[in-house]
Amino acid sequence: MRRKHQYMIATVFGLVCIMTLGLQAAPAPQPGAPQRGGTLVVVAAVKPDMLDPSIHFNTLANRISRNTHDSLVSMENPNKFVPALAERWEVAKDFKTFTFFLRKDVKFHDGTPLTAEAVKATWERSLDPANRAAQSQLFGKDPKIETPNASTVRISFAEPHPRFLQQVSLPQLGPGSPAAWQRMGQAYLMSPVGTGPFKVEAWQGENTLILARHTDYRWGPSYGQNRGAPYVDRIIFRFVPEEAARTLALERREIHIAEEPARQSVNTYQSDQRFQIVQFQVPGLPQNWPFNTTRWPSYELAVRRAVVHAIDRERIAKVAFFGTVNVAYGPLTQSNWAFWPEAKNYHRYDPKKSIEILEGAGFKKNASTGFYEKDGKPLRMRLVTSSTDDQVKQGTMVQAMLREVGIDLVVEAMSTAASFARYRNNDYELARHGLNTVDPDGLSFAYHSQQITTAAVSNRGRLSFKALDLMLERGRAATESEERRRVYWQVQKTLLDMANSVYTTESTYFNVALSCVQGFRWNANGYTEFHDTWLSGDCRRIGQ
Amino acid sequence: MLLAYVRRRLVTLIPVIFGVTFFAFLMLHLVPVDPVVLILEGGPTTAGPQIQVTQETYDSMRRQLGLDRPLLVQYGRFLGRIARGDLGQSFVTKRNVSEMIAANAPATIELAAAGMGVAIVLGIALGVAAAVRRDTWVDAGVMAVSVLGLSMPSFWLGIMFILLISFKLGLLPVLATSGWQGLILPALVLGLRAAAVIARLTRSSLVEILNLEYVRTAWAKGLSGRSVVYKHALRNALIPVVTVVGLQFGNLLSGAVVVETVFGRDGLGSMAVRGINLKDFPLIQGTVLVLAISYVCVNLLVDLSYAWLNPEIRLGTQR
Repeated sequence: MRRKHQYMIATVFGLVCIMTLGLQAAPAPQPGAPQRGGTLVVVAAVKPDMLDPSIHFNTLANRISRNTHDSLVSMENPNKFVPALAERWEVAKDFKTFTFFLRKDVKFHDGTPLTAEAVKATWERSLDPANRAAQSQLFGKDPKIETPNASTVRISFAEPHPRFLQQVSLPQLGPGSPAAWQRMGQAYLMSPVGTGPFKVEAWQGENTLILARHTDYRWGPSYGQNRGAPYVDRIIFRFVPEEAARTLALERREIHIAEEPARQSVNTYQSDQRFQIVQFQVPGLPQNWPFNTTRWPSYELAVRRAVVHAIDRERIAKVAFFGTVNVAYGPLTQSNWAFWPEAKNYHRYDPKKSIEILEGAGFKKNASTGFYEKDGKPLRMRLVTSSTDDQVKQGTMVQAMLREVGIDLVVEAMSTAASFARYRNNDYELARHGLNTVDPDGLSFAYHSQQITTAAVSNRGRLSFKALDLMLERGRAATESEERRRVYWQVQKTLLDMANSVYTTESTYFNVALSCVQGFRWNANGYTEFHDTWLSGDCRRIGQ
Repeated sequence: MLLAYVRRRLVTLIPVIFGVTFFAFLMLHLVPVDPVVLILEGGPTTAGPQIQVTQETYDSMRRQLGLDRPLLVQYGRFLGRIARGDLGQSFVTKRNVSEMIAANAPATIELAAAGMGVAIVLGIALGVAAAVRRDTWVDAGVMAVSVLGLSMPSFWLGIMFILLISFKLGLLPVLATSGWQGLILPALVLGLRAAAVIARLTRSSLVEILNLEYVRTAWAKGLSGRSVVYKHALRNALIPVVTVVGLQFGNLLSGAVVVETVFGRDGLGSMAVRGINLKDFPLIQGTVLVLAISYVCVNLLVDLSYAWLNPEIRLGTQR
């Protein structure tokens, strides 16, 4: 009996071992050569309200527009442009005139040829005040568009516009088919016709968009592997706001790509061979909380310095974001080409230093409240920010860190709309800011004194320093990248010396995909491109 | 008489339209949020390089959208457009609001009808079971389940259903948004709360009816239990339930917002939420108007159904 028992245990143990080995995740399949065919299913969080890139308001639509509309030039990186619809171009030395020489073999999705007139008509559509397009801001002052012949477009401005090539590389200035928008009327806004690798095939209801391969396509950007028609037959975009539904659908293999997974899941997906995380470090101005320099106590330099030294940004990145983001060190993100490396040595976490600074500035601690005071006024500041999960988590952590050094931070989280109203009414001591921009000229948007009176108060710190304004204007006007880098380094130093803002973390976009999806990438502007994407193995069964 | 009653009730729509649109208009404009700023700054959802907007562009857009006019003038224009059957153009999408509502309404109607169906069938069935088996474990069980149904938020319930039924058991796709497969879970989530209310009310109403003399007479005559309950008692017991069904319709419409968001379905709810986030005045006002009219019409149908349920009730001349 005892021997029979032992045999049974050995058999069960053996079976468990075999089952365990069988259940281990299979190694990731070797992709091999790109295969044509299949339908890619992508689930996004937010549905674009309009798809026509010449007019739409919400730049999230560009994640789709980048695949339906090409630009005249493509941006491989912020300082390098490669041919796209324009096979070459000329830029006048004064940066007032740009001439683009178009390819002659490009067709829109409706079969009409790309001509200089079509480009001109598209740009005039954005400039037309009746269309109320923010895209008109992408052009310089008093734009004048000419078409000397069928494949040449010349645009000139009253003032230099060194940044225009960058704007041209955006989907918003990608040409659309004038014949199509005249024929389709309002329907064009949701089904625009471009020259991109994919065309809008249909909307199914309001929440499902189907793009189909543009079979005549053969003018892909040189930084991509595929210059011809895309590999996949179709892309289905579904718009599902609930994150759990997106990621569960991915894990059930009902879809290929889910946008914006929860932060706490990113590390899990990264270590699971069934999935891949594709991320994009957003260039520009990181997430930051500028101090309102027109209100007490945030206008006191000592208070600002005490605050920035009391915040442990590494801990915020680790706890609030599960280690998935980079720490922000200064006014520009580390991925921006003009980032000043010395910024990493500023605002180091040192709570003792915070207390020394406060006491040196005449603040005295109130024993009953535990907070510092000056002339009877408690050291209290209100952070007015949006009610997104990220902001609330960061705000809560920073509130606790500041309490440890005797500073009272009140976190007022609200809708973006309501926070804009507070900024306009100058009813805050700390605000929320951040900007996705590949060009460091975005610093003008946030720190030039002219931006204090704009509708959304872009300069939320309400800084008004002539010296800073002049530096920003010099950076904008300069044309050599080394000179611009020097100027922007000086701008960053000036801002950091002033402790103008609490720099917390840098933004990162995440998408999670099945590992059998190949060739999926973000471009330099932060839009997803599917031209090189193909499906391997059993990925091809999904979406059929 | 019936037609006269219907005409009288439809006339009450006019003050409802005025009241609802006026208060919606007032609330939208009193909140200190500028829709033009939201639109130009890309609202809460932006990606890629953001366009930096000048004051000139902002002022021009305010003028074009008529937002620089006095409030009363804006409201008057809105009423004038309604009188012509025009709900205006969305600030954000530039599409006609009536076209957007027409495109999104079928999905919400489908979901609300399915949810109401679940609520009525489940609620009445459970309520009858509890009443007929009152003071037993069936009764206690139904009441306990109805408390759970009332207290669980639909947002959480939706995610739990997706996790359990779609993900763990694989019985339904996670993201089916069309066809019957896309309707089952959302309808269940939406209908459960209303089912709980209906179950409790059916139970208490039926218990009361079952104690009446005519029901005791029916028992004494030897009629079957099924006949006594369903033929004689239930119809009278349903009168207060029908009232609640009409009121629950409003809750279903508001619940549809959450359910459409969780399950990624088309619908007026999700469209309205996007409009509210971007303060798309014409879209919000048009949606509020349509929903208010729908609510009044549903309650009218409910009132008309009383006469069918109980012929003793004569509309406007009840004894």
